[in-house]
Amino acid sequence: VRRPTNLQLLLVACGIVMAILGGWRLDRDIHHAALGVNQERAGGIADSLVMQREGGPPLLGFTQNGGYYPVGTDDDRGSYLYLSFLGRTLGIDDPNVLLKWFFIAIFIPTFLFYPLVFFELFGSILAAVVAPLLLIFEFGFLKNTGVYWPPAWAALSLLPLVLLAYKRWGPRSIWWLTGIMVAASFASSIRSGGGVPVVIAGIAVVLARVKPWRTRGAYVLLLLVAYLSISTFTMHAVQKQRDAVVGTDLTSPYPNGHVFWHSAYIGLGYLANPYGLRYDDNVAVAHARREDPTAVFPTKKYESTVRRLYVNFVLDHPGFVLRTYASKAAVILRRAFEQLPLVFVLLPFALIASRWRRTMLEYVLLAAPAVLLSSVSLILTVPYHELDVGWLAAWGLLWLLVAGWLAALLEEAWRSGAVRQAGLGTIRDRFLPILYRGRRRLAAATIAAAVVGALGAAVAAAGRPIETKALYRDSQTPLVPAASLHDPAIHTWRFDRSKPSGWLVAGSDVRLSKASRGTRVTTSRPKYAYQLASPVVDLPPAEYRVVVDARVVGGGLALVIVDAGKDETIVESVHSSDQTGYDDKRIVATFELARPTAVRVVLANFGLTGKPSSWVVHSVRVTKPPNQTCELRLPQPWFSSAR
Amino acid sequence: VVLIGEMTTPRASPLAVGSLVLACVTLLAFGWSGSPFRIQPLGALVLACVTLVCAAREWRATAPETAGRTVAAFALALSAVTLVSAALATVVFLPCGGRCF
Repeated sequence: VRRPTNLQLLLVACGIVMAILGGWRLDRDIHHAALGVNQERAGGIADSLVMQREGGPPLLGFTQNGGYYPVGTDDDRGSYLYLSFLGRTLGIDDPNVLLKWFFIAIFIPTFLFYPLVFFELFGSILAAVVAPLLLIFEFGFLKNTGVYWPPAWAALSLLPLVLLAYKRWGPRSIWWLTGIMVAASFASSIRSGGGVPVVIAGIAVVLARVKPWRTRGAYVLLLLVAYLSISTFTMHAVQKQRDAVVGTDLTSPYPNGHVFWHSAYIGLGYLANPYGLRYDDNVAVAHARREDPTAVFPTKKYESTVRRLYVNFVLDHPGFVLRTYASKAAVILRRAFEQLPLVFVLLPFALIASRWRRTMLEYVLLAAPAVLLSSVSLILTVPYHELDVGWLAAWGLLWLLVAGWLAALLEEAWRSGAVRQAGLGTIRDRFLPILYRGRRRLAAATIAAAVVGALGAAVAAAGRPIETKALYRDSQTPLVPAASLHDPAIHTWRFDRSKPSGWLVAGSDVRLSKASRGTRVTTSRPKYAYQLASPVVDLPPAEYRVVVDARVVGGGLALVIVDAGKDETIVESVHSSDQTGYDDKRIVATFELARPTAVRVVLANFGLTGKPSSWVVHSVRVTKPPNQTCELRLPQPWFSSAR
Repeated sequence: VVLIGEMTTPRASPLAVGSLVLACVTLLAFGWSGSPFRIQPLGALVLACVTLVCAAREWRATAPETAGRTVAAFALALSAVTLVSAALATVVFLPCGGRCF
């Protein structure tokens, strides 16, 4: 066994500092980790936790009538398994705490080994310091991503290790790769396919470094088995063991992981379409039931039915499908370009003009599966925020490689003495040749960078309106026909000439002007910022509706009902200028109070573009079923500009 | 197991081939949905430990760059993978206690 050198010990010490820094930073920045987890998933994890606390097996929850049900049948089981186990073992009930520290614990080792790995990859101390610092301070998109982060973790933590195995291949590297595949399997057990790019890169390394073919085949087989270890074998074994405990087969009717065809089918509804498709689970469920009434979500039969629906739709409407997928590709490219623009500009230099271009090309090729597979996943489903964390992380890895390359070159130039001597002639003669090889290559790289930059800017411009329209369409609440709203009003505020008495305006950026009927409101810019707030209304326990007669002229409007005592949102209803029917339909928020509550009605900017929205507001009414009473309270000094 | 060892790699010891086969069978019987019979996580954990020890012994006993070493190395790797899989499956049932095993 070789003794570590002083430099390696120094890098380990640097890693410990980075781990402490990274942990501190994540602890400081992550506040609502559970926001990234949808309701069903959060419910499943909580139910599994309760079951384990009662002495039951994992992946099982209690039903309301005291029975039990298998949790996560339409999902990857890993998050339910690990989080409920950790919650039970550590005595943590709060999902925010559980998710946050699970995430931090997973990323701490990454911070720890980054200096050593990047030093080995680039032979540069500067690269060893820069890479973890970039990861800690420039990758904010990783936070609050619920359980969507495993592909990002695989790309940022495991792929550099695969690159290292490629660079320093030796007789024992296959052990190293096998261990990495087990870790990739862990990632895939939480988010299906999360570790696949790592497997592809690992197999590529074996194919490139190992001879003869028989050994290659055996190694590849070993890597595949290692990749299946946790995501397939362990998950299946746990479910079968659970079934043995309860005496019922709760495993075989359901898919092994995330429902794929279901997501792919509703992903076709990203753009406005006349086919009744939307990114809404209920759409696929209804269509599948129409096709086969016995296909129950999320059984294997259901998946098979939805797969048939998907294939038939693609064959029947190839043009629409291509347009949809091209639109999603533009949206995700825009996001990568906006988040990490330097990668697009610097990568051509690293690949074409650099003296290290061969090494960089090999690294980029090994990282490419992460970029491609994460894009396919987003293009097939929807390119929503949080879901795109794997895609951004794949580009982030490229950014780290480019930054490592730059750092290594700068360090080499520094060591050569060219920079220290600081003479212009010296820099030209000694520093520039380190950066690039050949004027023609430099010219080619410059042209490539310019073309990529221009294309990126064009795609970014094209992707923005597509994304905005899709987000509005997917998030907006349906309008309600005015003719169906008969409940008596307990209070009405009319916006005849300006805001009604007692209403608060949130800041000087909000502009009110007279419209032909009602008041025109031009909002402030910030997304979700409160614009107008009603006086506090004390409401006894009952069901209520707030009805707003208004038209969204540009951007969007969020009707938010706020518990004024706790300053918490009770319910919200969001709308955009893309919606039609404002003349005979109304914006409605329905809510039920279990106890007397001081409530405030708030109109907020639902502008997704960061621009002001524009509305014409006629009236706001609080209504409720007859035979109930309430009292109004005078306006209080309260104000909140954003939530 | 001896027969398989002799048929595939004459220079590999029966113990190494046996470890490889047993690790493979354990992994499949433990977690493959198509397996005709099933080994529980705890049983898989014990078997994985056995194959790991046998494979490690053979690996140390054989010379590098030989077929015997290669088979032993594969058995060792597969046993380690099986061990990790089975250990994880066992650990998550620990809070449930004896009724789950």
